[in-house]
Amino acid sequence: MTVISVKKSVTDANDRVAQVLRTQFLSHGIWVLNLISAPGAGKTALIEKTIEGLGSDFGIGVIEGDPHTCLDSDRIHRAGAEAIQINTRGGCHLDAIMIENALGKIHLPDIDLLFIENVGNLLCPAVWDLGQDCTAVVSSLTEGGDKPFKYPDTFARADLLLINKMDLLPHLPGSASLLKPNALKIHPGLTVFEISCTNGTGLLQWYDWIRTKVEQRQKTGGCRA
Amino acid sequence: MHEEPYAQAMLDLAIERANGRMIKNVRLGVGRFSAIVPTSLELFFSFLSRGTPAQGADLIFETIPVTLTCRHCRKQITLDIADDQPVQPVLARHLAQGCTCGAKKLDIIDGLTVEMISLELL
Repeated sequence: MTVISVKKSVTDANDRVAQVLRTQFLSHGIWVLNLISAPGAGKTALIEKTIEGLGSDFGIGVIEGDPHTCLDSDRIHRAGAEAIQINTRGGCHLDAIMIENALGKIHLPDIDLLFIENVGNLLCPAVWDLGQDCTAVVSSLTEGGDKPFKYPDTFARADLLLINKMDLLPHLPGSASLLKPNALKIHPGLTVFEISCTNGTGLLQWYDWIRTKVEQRQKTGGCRA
Repeated sequence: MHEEPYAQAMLDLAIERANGRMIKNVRLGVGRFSAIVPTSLELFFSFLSRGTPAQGADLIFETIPVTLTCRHCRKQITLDIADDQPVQPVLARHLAQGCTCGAKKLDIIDGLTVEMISLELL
C-alpha cells in the first residue's frame, strides 16, 4: 500500500494554466477583469458603457462566455471593441483553458484592458481562476438584497461589487437597498460601485477607477513600446 | 451538474499523480463553504473514472472548516458549525462583530476550496 501526499486544490490543473495566463497578461501590460453575475444583471451593458467611456483612451478586448449564442459578442462589436465569443454548450462557467484558446484569436499588443464576461451564474464561475487581476460581481437591484446570503462564496471571493440598475431604486421595495450592506456583511473588504448603465449614475467614478488600474499596469508591467 | 467539472479536474489530478498505478482511494478536504456536495461529486467521479486507473476508487471526505483571520492582529478564528447547519448566519455574525482586538476587517482564509489531500495506490 502506498499513500502519496498531494495537498493541491482539485482545480490545480486549471490554476496552473491561469498562472501562465497571468504572466502573459502582465508581460503585455494588460489589466484583466473577470465579470461574474446572474443572467441579466448587466455585465454586457457595463462593458458597452466602459467602451463608450474609455475606448478612445485604451485598447479594450472582451472575451464573452455564453452557453449558446453570439448575442453578447455582437453587442461588443457594435460598441466598437474586439470580442471573442466562447460558447460553453451548456457549461456553467469559463475555465482557464477556454481563455488560453481564445487568446490565440486576440492580438494582445493592441490590448490594455481585457474584460472576461463569464457565463451568467452566481455559483460556479468564482471558483475557476482565469488569470484575472480582479474578480467583479455585478448584481442588479432587481435581483433582491438577499443575494449575498444566497451565494455567499461568490461574494466572499470577489474583489469588487458593482450594483447596477440604481435608477430603479425608487420603484423597488425597501429591501432592495439592503444589497450593499448585506454584501459587506459577507465581505467587508469589497470595493462597491453603485451604478446605472441606463442613466449613467456612478459611471464616471467607475471610469476613473478602471483608468487608474490600467495606467498602473502600464507603468509596472509590460514590454510594449 | 455543478460538481461535474470538479470531478473531472479531480480525476485528472489523481491520474497524473498516480503515474500509471491504480488508485484505491482519494482523500479530499472539502471546504465547509465550498458549495460542493460530496454525494454529487461521488456520482460524477464514479461515472467519469470508468476505464481509468481510478475506476472503483473510493472518495474519502474530510470537512475543512471556515477559518477567518484578522487583518490587524492576524488572529485566526475557526468557525465550528454543525454539518446540518448553514454557514452564512454564523459567518455573517463573526464578520459583523469583527475581531476581539476591535478591528472589523476579517478575511476568509480557509474553507472555500476543495483540496486533494492524498491518494492511496494499489
